[in-house]
Amino acid sequence: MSVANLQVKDTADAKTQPDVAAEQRMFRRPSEWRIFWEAFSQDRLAVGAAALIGLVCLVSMLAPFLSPYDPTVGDNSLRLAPIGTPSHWLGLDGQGRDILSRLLWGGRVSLAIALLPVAVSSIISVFLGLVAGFFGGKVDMIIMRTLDVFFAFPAVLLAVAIAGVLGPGMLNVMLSLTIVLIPYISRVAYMATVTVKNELFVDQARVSGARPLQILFHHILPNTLSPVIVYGSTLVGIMIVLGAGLSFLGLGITPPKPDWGIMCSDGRNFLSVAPHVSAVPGIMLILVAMSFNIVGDGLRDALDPKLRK
Amino acid sequence: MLKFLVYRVSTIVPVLFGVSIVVFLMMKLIPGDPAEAILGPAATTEKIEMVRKSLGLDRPFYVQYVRWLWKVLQGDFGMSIAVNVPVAQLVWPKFWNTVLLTIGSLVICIVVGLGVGIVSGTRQYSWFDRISMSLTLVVANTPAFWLGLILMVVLALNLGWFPATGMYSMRASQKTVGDLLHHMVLPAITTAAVSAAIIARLVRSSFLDVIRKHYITALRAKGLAERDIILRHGMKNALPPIINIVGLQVGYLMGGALFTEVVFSWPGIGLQIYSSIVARDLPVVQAAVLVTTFVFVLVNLGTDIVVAALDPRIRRA
Amino acid sequence: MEEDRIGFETLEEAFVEGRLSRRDFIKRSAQIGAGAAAMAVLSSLGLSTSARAQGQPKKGGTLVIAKESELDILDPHSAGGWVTWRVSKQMHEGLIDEDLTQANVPYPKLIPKLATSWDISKDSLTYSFKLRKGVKFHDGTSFDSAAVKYNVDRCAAKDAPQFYARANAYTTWIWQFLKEVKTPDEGTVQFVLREPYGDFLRQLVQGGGGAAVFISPAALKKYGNEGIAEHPTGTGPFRFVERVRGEKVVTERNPSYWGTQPYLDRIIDRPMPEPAARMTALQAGEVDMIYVPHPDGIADLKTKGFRLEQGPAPHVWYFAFNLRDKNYQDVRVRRAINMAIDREGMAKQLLKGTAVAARGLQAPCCPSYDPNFKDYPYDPAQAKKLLAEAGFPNGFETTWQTSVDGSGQLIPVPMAEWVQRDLAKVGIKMKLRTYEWITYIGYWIKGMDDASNKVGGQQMSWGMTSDYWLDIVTNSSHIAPAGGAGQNGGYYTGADAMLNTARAEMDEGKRAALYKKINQKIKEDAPAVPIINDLAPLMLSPKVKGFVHAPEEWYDMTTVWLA
Repeated sequence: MSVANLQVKDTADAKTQPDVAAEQRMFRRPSEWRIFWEAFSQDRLAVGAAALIGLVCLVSMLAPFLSPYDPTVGDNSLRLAPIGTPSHWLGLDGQGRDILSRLLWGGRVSLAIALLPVAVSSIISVFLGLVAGFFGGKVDMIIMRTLDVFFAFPAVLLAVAIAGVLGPGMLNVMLSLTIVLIPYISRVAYMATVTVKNELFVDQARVSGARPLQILFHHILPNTLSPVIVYGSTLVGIMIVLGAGLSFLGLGITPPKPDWGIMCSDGRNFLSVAPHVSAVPGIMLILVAMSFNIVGDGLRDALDPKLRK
Repeated sequence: MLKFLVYRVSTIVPVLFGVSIVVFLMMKLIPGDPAEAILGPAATTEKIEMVRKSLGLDRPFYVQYVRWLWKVLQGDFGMSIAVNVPVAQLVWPKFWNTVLLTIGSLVICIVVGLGVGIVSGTRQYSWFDRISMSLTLVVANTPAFWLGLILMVVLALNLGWFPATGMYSMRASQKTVGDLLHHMVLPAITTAAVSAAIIARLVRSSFLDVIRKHYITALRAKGLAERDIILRHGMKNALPPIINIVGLQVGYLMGGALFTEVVFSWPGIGLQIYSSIVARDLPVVQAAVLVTTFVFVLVNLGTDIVVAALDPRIRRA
Repeated sequence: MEEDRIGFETLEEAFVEGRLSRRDFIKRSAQIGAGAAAMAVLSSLGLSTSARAQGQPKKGGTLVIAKESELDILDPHSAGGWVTWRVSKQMHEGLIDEDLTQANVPYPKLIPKLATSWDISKDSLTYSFKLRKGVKFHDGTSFDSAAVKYNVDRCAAKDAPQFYARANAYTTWIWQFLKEVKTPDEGTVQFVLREPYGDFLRQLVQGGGGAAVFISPAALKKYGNEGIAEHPTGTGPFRFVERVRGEKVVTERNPSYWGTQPYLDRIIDRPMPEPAARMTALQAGEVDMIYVPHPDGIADLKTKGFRLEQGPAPHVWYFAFNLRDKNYQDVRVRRAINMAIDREGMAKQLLKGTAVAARGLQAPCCPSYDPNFKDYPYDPAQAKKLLAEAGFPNGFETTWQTSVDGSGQLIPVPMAEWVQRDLAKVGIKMKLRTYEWITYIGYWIKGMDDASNKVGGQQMSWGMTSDYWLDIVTNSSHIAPAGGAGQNGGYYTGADAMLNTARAEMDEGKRAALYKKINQKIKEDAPAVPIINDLAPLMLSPKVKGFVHAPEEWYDMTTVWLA
């Protein structure tokens, strides 16, 4: 769980800020997407990772159709059967439930817990960052100082504390993660906004007539989105792990719904006897989180003109 | 520099106030009545009222906040609901236990992170580089609790090389440093893993940056001097962001140590927060979160100052 | 006879302290006619008269125990839960106690402890106890009738200066009919009740709530009602050493104990709420004994040489129905649910034999428990039929609640999910709400029809070696939330008359018969569905000897020794 990754992006962004302006100028031309796609598709690892994510998402969405068994019903006579058991290829867990089925259904929850908070938080954060960065002055100070308070908390601690306070349940976990993410994404949006704004006002001196809100929506917003999207994709990977951690602690979703974190926690009672019960969902978590991480890196590299041919 | 120092220190005061308000409010929003929690199965409505009054729960919010804050500033965190002792008595010893674990993790983090990062950075595309980069990618995305379980099963249960739980051996009459270190190995590795991986990658990319810049000049430099230049410049280039990251990692380590402490039953503040959340022991959760965050803010302050001392550009920002 | 007794006690002392060999002990016991008692002593020490390879008990060693949750405060009057009582009981004693050195009895016998004898007045209202002489508290002060009165007043006399509301709340069922405490002399104490209370003596030995044991009044005065929990001071065979919250409670042998000295030097209790962590610690040799092993890990631990100890315990895991909920008002629905749940299946497959299917609501290990009680059979087809007759041919939707952990809770969520699946098979769609333990208790005592808490069924899991327990959970005087403690959260009133009569019955045999009848009535009215009786499984390292798994939820640690 690489929360400090969140801050790594800050330093990385700080270093490439002048380039952000240059690239954002370029973004105003529609064919830019084609350039981006060509750059991205050259990165085979990122494409592979994106494909894996796509596959996992698709399969999880289709879980009701693809899942061979009901993930909440167990066959007690086959409890703890190992990997490779005929017709239960990933084995069974402590209550005789098919692990593959639980993995499929659990994916829906684990992915939702990761994707939705990042999405919702991004919307809120872009709004906050735009408003603070664009209007500056008192508005800037109020918004950013308030966010500074939340920044002061170690992210994992805040997530656990909020989730603990709200109680178990999928909605509460997502709410907790959303709250934790807002300061981080807001800061990225804010810095992007400020940068573009400064660039624009230099140009503004030579351009006449455009109203502030127009500038905001037509120019600043699109250029704030790309760093947020890059950042967000890495965050999803981190949230997959943190969300699973909350479920592992029992602060996440409530049974009998499976998710990958709860599956790991279930397996703790028979680690010596049947390690696959914990190992399999853990491996899944690593693969998916890694993929998002790689895709995030790929997006950043593809959007960075310095690295393009 | 002094101006920067004063400015930086002054910003933490409102932040700490804000933190205290957030912590206070968080706990007030919990469903469930602490008075009922204390009385358990034997509660009756009149007894609940009695306990509520003794806890001061019948006063308005802001009054409760001010009273609470005043006491906190004097080191009085109130009484634990679940275990009827002053919260400070519960929180401080656990806090130091986590500090110990954090220091151990930090050492591993820095040594392994720097080591792997430097070797990979100066030997790009070597087999070491490829393997370490793949490994760090995997480790950086590994849930700490899962890693802890795996290490416990393999190294503690199956091979018996390390103890599986706790901070000291229960039976020993004396607490020795050796015993402590022996118990600390697995938890420290578990906590440090993700951060070490991140630091390794960061150090490596810093070094690659330096190498790229020096590629041209290197053509003119002589053999051995080349490596020295890269190392020296690489370190100088990498140091500020590394210190920055290390400072942030301390926050992660203290928060992330929570999972490690739960898996290994390390009696630290993370485990205490977890048990207290489960037990709905709000004063303890409040105090623990407050203390940990306070320290995190101070550590960040410290690293900001150190980085600013090293890199004048930041001071002017 | 008196001399014989003294002679035997000296012999027993000598034998237990190793000064007398087993053979000499038997010979000399026979000489003074104390043969049977000698056999009892031998078997209570885990030695039979036929040579058993347990070896000679030896003194010394530290026993480390991993418990399933953190302990409550160590004030025995003001804390509840078996986890805490198992420790407090080693340090504190009451007038009478249960004989926990016998494992193969249906329920524990009452034996003298700090009282050497007692009798009950003809009107059943006055209990007179003769107190043991020469007993000292751990702080050196003497135990006498004033100490008894001081302690009881703390729990029951509202206008006493040492009265403690919390203690009063936890010891409600023990002192609820107490009118006054008389201390005619130093060595005698009398409890005068307002009305006949047949199970009073059995309630005196309970410890699941507050207990009727004695704390040194000097210590209470010195540390106060709140502070005493940090300085437990009783008369027991073990005394308090230290406590580090979340880490350990350390107790050691009391060298000036009036009775048989324990073998162990020290006991360290470690709270380890994660079953996985407990089993890991046992496997790694970091603890010697664990409570509540996870059913799935037991077989594995056994192959590694660890011993499983379990047996009947006063414990029933059950769901009570909300009788104000319209779905549950037809008795056929409630009977159908009783038939719809595969209790045997759960006990064997989910709990791996660490529990047995419950028969009737009354908990095992009390005088009125009947192991041959015929409860509803597992018959889902019949259940569906009954539901249809009651007007629910397609079942109905309902919400039940349970805790996720807690004292005596086993693995409540998988168990509740099992029940959920069984109900689904007969058409009842049960939605399960889960809460952590303390929050759960808060809701549970409010009753199932409380505005904040409308559910159709709620789970609880406990019991007592006292018949009166059945009253606590089914008498309308205990309906939640009013009254002493709202244990009857389902609003059942059908057995009140029988319960009140039984409560006043002083003859144990007659009382047991009355409670048996009540149990039958409760089966017919089905205000609850009892599911399983836990067998209180523990796992021990092979070097732990002499442990007796008595039919109670707590144990006598004085018989335990380490090889």
